[in-house]
Amino acid sequence: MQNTILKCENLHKSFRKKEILKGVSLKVCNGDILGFIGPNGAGKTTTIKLILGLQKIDSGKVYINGHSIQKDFENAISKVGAIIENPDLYMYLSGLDNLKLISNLYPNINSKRIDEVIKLVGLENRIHDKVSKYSLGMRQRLGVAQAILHKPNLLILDEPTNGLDPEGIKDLRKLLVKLAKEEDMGILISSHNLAELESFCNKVCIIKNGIVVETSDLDKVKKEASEGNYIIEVDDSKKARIIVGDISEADDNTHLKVHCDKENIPTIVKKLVLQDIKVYCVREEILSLEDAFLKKTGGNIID
Amino acid sequence: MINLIGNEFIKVFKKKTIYILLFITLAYIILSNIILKNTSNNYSNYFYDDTQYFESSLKELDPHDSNEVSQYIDLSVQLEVTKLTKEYGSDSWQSYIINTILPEYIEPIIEHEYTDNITDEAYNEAKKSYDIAIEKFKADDWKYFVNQKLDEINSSLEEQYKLKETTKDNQTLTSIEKTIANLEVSKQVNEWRLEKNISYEPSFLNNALENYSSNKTELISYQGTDLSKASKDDLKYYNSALENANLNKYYIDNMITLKSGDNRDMLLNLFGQYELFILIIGIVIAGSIVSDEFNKGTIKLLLVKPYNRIKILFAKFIVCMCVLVLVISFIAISQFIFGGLIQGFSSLSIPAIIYNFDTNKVETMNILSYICLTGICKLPIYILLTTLAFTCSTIFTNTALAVSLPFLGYIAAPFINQLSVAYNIEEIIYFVTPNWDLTQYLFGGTPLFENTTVPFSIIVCLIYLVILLFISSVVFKKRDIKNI
Repeated sequence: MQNTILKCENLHKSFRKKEILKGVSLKVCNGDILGFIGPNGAGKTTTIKLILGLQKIDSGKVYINGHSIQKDFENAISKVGAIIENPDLYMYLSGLDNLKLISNLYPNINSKRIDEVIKLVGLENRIHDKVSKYSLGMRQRLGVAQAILHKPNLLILDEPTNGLDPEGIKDLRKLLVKLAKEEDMGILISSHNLAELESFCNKVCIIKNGIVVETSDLDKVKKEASEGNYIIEVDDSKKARIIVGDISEADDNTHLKVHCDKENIPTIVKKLVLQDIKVYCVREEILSLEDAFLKKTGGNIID
Repeated sequence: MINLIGNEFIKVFKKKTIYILLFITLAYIILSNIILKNTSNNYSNYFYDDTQYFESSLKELDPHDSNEVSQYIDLSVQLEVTKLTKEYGSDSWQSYIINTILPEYIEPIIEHEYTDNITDEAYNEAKKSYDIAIEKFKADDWKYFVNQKLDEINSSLEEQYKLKETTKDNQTLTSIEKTIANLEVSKQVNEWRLEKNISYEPSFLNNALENYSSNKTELISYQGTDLSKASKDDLKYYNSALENANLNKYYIDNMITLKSGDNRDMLLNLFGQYELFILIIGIVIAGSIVSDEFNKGTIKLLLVKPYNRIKILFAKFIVCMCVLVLVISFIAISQFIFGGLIQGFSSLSIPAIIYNFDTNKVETMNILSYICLTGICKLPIYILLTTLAFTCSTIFTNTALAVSLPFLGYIAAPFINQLSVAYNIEEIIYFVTPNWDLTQYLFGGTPLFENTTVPFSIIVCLIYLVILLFISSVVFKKRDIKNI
């Protein structure tokens, strides 16, 4: 059973007459990992700050667990964990002290829960060191720890993979998938690094210039972007292109890209075979999320 | 809310800043007590041995030249006085007599040698007095001189009383009355010397006697003037003379010896001595408590917690106030302990001694109560300046500005007050600076501006406090957290 945890409706925000958000709507349900994707300056961080009540909403509504962030801030925010921009922690305190400060602000967090979370993010060995001695990757982990300490059902992460090494990214990915599945959290994760999100998001929301361009399941985005594109591997792609006609283009010497309906493929293959072209393989083009994204947003243009 | 306050305490007390500041304060307290311990009493007479100068000058003068003889005699007298002072020591009781009474005897003796102005009779009398004086010096009999002085005063008094009876003219009569009053004061002082066994030797009580007599003389000079019509300055001088005369009388009556700069004195003047340190710590903490979170970006962490922003802000404000109280207690306790260890605890047996203008009496007060009372009266200054730092911290989110602005205010406050007094700007009483120091009202004191009263001052201070807190609440509540 899926419940809507976060619902944003038609968010608008301007800074000094410059409209940053022009009606952003999105939805996160429990168990979802929503990738919030957009180029720099598209309004990702602003949207997240509006959701968290860090900035005033010009118009539109944000509901978290059914509570309006504008009218009932304390209830709305109580089951939210967040890292905004960098994991800004108190540098002069140890990792453990930072977590203790957070735990003081929520009811029912005992030291067992703190230990559990420390183990979960893998900081057992360095938890008594001052945060100022941590590497950026370790700070990110501590940031995640403080965000999930109070068992939120909505986790909002703004660019969490910044500064993480590949192994750290892998760990984080595993952790987030686990949280979504086992704790049934809804996770909103923003990034411009698409390759990372591809592997574990189940939904995406693409934002450009303050407008949501696309919201859908990840597979659907990729499918739509790549629909009707097929790659045919041949021995001479130039010759083959002349035979097939305008619907095709030569990728390189051996690959021919054809845009047509699936039903037309056998006809094209037949044509090629009859003309003595060697056909080795026919496959559907699979776009990476990045390609799909670029196709959707039309490049990285900032107003 | 209590959790928030607890967290703010942890944040403040886990930072090095407060410990460094407290350490500097402690070092200052210890050093000033060590320095004060080693400065001896300041009643010693200034003495410079210039015998050689007088001797060489005398050699160049010719006593038989009528133009130079008077200068020669003068220098000879001074030489003799210096020699005698040196012999008995400048801090002996003899030194006082040598410098005040003895020149009267020495001069005729020397003058007789070089001129014909002095009769043999006068010379003999002077010589006799001089010999007796030296004899009494040797016998350590200072009471002889007191009695001599008393005899003189009594005969003068008799004369004046006789004059008073015969005079009818009002103006002369008042002047005679003033002379009589002054003579009575001198008589009283000399009687006290005998009664309380206070010699001329420089000491606190000797000094108290002198102060008493000079202040009493000043009070007598005000006799007959209508004080309600007197100028502000006159009133100030009059009150100061009244206070000093009464306090010194109390010291003599009760044979109390005070030492300035001892543990007791430092504790009583705690807020004068260490005010700057109280303010530095209070302002630095309040000036950074909000802006640091903005500068380090941790404000985002704090504001996504399930607490209203106003609660978060007031938790911080309450912590600032607690720090202020803690710092004051820290300084008082440190002065008590280290002042005691360095200078001794014995001075604390004397309570605070205050002259009360309302009852016209000298009152004593337990030292602790006195510190608490003055502390409470000074608190508006500290609270308002700390709050100013706090408000600047929320408005500008800039620690440097939030710390320096209150200090500018603190430095400017006396100038604002003085300028307003000088140019008679009465509207200033609605500003905070003439009102925030409540010690001006203590013990019947006259405030800087006549129209202010204790309740008025408290209300003005409260209004400014509420305004500052209101501004910071609104700014903090409405602020958009931009990218940091």
